[in-house]
Amino acid sequence: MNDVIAALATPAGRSALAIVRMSGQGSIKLVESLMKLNSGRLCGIRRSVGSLYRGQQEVDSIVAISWPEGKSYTGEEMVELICHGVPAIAREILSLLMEQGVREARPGEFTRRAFLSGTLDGVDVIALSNLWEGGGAGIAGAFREMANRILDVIERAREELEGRIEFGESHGVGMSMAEVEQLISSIRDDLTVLRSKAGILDGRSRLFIMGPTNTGKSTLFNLLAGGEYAVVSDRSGTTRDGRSVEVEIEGRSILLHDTAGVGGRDLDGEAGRIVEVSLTDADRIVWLTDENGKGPGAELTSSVGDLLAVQPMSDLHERTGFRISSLTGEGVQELRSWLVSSPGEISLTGLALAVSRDIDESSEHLEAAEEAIAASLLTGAAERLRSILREEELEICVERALSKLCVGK
Amino acid sequence: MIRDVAIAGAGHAGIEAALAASRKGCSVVLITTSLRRIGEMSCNPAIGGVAKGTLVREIDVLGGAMAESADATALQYRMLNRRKGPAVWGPRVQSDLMLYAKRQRYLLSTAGIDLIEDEVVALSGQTEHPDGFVCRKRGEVRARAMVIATGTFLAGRLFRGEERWKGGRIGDIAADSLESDLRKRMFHVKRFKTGTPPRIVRNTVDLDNLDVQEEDPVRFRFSFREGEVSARREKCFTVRTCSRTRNAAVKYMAKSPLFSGSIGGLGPRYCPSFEDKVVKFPDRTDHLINVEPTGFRSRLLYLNGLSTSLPREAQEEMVRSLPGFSGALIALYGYAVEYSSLENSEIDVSLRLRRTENVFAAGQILGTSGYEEAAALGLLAGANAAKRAAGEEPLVAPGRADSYLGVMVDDLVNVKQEEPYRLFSSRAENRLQIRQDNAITRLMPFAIRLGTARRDDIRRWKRRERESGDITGTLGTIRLEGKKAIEICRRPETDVDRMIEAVPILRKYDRDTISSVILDEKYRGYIERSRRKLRARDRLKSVPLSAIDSYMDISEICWEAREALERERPASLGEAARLAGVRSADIEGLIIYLSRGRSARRILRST
Repeated sequence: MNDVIAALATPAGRSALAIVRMSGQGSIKLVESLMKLNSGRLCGIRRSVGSLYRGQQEVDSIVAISWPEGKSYTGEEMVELICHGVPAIAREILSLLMEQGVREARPGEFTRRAFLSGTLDGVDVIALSNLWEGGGAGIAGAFREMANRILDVIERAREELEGRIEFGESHGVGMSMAEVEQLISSIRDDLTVLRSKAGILDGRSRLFIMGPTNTGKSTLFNLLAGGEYAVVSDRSGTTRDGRSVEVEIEGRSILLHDTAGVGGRDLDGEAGRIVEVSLTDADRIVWLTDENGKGPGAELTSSVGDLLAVQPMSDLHERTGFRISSLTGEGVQELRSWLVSSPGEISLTGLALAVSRDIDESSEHLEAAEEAIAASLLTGAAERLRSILREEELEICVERALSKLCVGK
Repeated sequence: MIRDVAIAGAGHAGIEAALAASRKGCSVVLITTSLRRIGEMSCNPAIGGVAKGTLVREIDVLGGAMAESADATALQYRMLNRRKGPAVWGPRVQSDLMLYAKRQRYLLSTAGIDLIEDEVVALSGQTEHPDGFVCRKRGEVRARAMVIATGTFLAGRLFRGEERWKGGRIGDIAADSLESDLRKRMFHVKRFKTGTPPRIVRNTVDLDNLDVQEEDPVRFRFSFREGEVSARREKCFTVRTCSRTRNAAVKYMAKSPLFSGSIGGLGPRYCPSFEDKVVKFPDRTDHLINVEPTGFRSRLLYLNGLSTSLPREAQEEMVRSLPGFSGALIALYGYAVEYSSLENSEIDVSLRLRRTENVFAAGQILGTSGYEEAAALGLLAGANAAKRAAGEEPLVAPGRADSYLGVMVDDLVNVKQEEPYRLFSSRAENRLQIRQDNAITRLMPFAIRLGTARRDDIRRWKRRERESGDITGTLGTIRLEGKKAIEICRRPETDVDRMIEAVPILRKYDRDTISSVILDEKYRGYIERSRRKLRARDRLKSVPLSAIDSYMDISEICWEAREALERERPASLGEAARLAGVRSADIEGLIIYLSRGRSARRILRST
C-alpha cells in the first residue's frame, strides 16, 4: 500500500493561486477531516469550497477537488487543493499535511504512480517528460503509429522469406525475391523518420569530453561537432572555458561540452573547478586518457552514470582498449554509435538504430542468397520494435524520463 | 512370458522404436493390425526435405534405420534450397514405396523382433504402471515397458465428400477400443485431421508433355555409413493447375470435410490441402503440382500438392483438368482422416506418458505429421522404453539449441498444438547451427548416452572431431591476403572449394568436414546471438512465482488463466506456460505484472 504523498504542483513564488497535489488511499478522508466536512462529502469527483483548519485555526480558504480511485491521474485517490498563491501559505498547508502523516512527494512520483497503475504507458511518460524539456506534444502517438506500420511490413517480409525457404521448391506461390527486397527497402524512409522521432522522445543527452591536458579533447570535440567550435592548438592548456554546442548525431540530440584539462597549471585549475561544478548536469562522459593511461578518479566514475574511457591519438601511441584517432578516424564511428545508443540500448534512439541496422544487414544477406540469416535479422528487428511498444522493456527509458521530472509532477 | 518392450503400431515410429530397443539388447514384441503393411508410406513417396531432411540425418546419427533405408530405395536425389545458404539446405529422396517397406520389414526380422498381427484394444492393468497390452485375439501381451505408436488409427474416421467410414487409413481398421480405453483412463485427447491426394494410373497419363524435374547433379547420401545406395532412377514431373481445376474445387467446396478455414497459425503459404490453396489464393489458378512415381516403374503416380477430401466427382474434374491428364484414371481417390491424438499435457520431455511410469508414445498419436517426425520420436521413445525396462531413468530429449529433435520435443511438450505438427526450419531459433551437414557433431554425444549409437559410427565421429580440430587449427594459423584464413571464412563468397584451392594443405582432410568448419565460422556471430537468446528465454522460464499470493486480481491475464493458475499454483513461469488455459499472452501479462512490483522486478533482473 502506498503512502499518501503531497507536493506543491505550481512554481514557488507569488501568484494568484497555487495547487497542492495529494495522492494515495486515505487522502480524501484526510482532507474531509481537515476541512471539517461531513464524511463522504468528497466522495466521487467533487469540489468543495471551504477552509483548511489546524485545530480551530483557519489556515487558508481553499477549493478542494477530489478524484476517487481509478479515476485520477495516478490511479489512486487524489485531492488537489487550490489555495492562495503565497509561498508561506503553501508551506503552511504542506506542514499541516505532514503533521497528519503525509509524506512529501519525490520528484516525478505522481507520474511514476500514474505509470505503475497503467493510466499512462511508457511512451506517454517519456513524451510527458519531454514536454517539460520543450519538446512537442503528440509525439508519442505518432511514434507508436510509425513503429506499428514498420512492424507490419517487417512481419510480411519475414513471412514471405520463410515461405520461400520452406516451400520455395514445391509451391511456387507468393512473392519473388525482387519483390521481397523491394518490400524491405520500402521501409527505409520510414525508419529514418522513426529514428528522428525516437530522438525527440529521448530528449537531449548531455555529454562531457574530459581528461588530462592535451589529450586531444578539443580535436575530438571538433570532429564530433563537425565544426571548428573549440580552439585547438599544440600548446598545452589552450581551451580556457568549457565550450558547448548542440549537435545531432543520427537523429539524437547531444549537448557536447568541451572541458578544460583536469590538473595542470593555475589557469587550468580555475577553469577545472568551473567544470566540476557543472558536472552534476552530465549524463555521460567520454574520458580521454593520457599516455600513462591515467583514468578518471573513482569519485567521478561513481557519480556519473555513464562513462566511457577512451585511448585517444592511437595514430601516435600504441594503445590497447578502446582506441580512437581523430586523425585516422579509427574508432570514431564506434564512438558515435555509443553516443546515440546507451548501455543495453536503453534509449529509444538506440533501439530504433538497432532496428535500422538489422534491416540493412538483412538486405545485404538477401543479396548473398543467405535467406535464413536475412529472416533471422528481420525476426530480431521485429522483436525490438515490439519491445519498444511493450511496457516492461520500455521501463528503463521510463525511469530516465521520470528522473528528469521535478517535485510535483 | 514377459518381454522387455512391447510396441503398438508398426509405422515409421513403431519401427524405429523396435529397432532402438532391440539395439539396446531388449526383447521386443511389435504388434500391428496388418503385417503386410508394415513400414508403408501412407502419403508422399519421399523422405526428407527442408528441416525434415536434417532430422533424417539426426536419426542416422542416433543409429536409426530411416536414412539407410532411404538411400537403399532412392529413385531420385535432390538437395532443396541448393541455391540458397547452406543453413537451409534440405536433402530429399524420392522413394520406392514397396521396396522401402520391404527393407524395413527385413530389418525387423533380422533384429530378432517378434511380430504379432493383432489389434491392441487396451492397456493392461493399472494406469500408473501397466503390465502390457491387451490384444483382441490373443489377450494380454506382457512387457516391462511399452510404446504406443498407433499413428492415425485412434478412433480414425475417413472422409471423402459426403462419404464417411471408419479406418485409420484406407483399407485399415480404426483402433476404437484402444482409444476408448485411453479415454476411460482419463487421458486427454483431441481430434486432428489430415489428408492425402489421389493416386493416378501412370499409363493413362501423357507424361511426354510434362516438365521433367531433374535430379540434382550434387551427389549425396542420407546415411553417413558406407551402405547400399540404390541405382534405380525415376523421373519426376511438374504440372500446373488451371482455372478449371480451381473451379472444380470451388464448385464442390461446401462438401469438403478437410477444409475448416481455420488453419492460419503457420502463415498463408502452409497449405495442407488443395482446398486451402484455393481459398487462400483466390486469384491464383496455376498452382504447382509435383507428379511423383510411387516406385521404380510403378503402376501409380502420386500428385503432390493435390491433397484433398472433395467428393469423387470433384477429384475427377480436378485431375482431368491438368495438362496431359485428360484421360487419366484415378486408382485411389484422395481422402481425409480424422483421428485422436494426445494433448501435450500428457507427455514429458522423454516422451513418457506422464501419468504412467513405463508407457511412452511417439508419432502421429502425439500430433505430428510426417514420417521423419514419427521416426525420430519413435527412436527416442523406444530407447527410453528400453531404459525403463532395464530399471534406468529415461533420457530427456536434447535441447532445442542443438537439434531438430530437440526443437520438436520441446514444442510438442510445451506448446499446445492447434493442428498437426510439421517441422519447419523456422521453428529452430538456432537453425544456422542445426544444419544437415553437421548432425554427427551435434548429436553423437547424445546418441552415446542414449545407448543407440553404433560402434563404427562412434569411431567415425571421433575421427571427424579430430579432423575438425586440425582444420580449425590450420585455418587459424595460415594467413591469406593479410588476414587469418579463418576470418576469410566469414565472407559470404567463401566456399569450401575456394578455400581448399587457397590452402592446399587442406586437401588431405575430408571435404565435408572442411565445409562444416567453414560454415560454423561463417555463421558464428548469428549462432552466438541465437544461443544467447535461447539462454535468456530459459532463464525467464525459471522465474519463480512464489511472490504471487493470488492470481484472481491480476488484470493482465484472462479469467481462464487466473483460475488455472490459482488452482495449480505453478512454481515457475515455465510451469505456468504448460498449464491448459494459460496462453502465451497470459505469460506475457504475468511478466508485465511481475515487472511492475518493486521486489519482483529484482527477481527478474537477477535471472
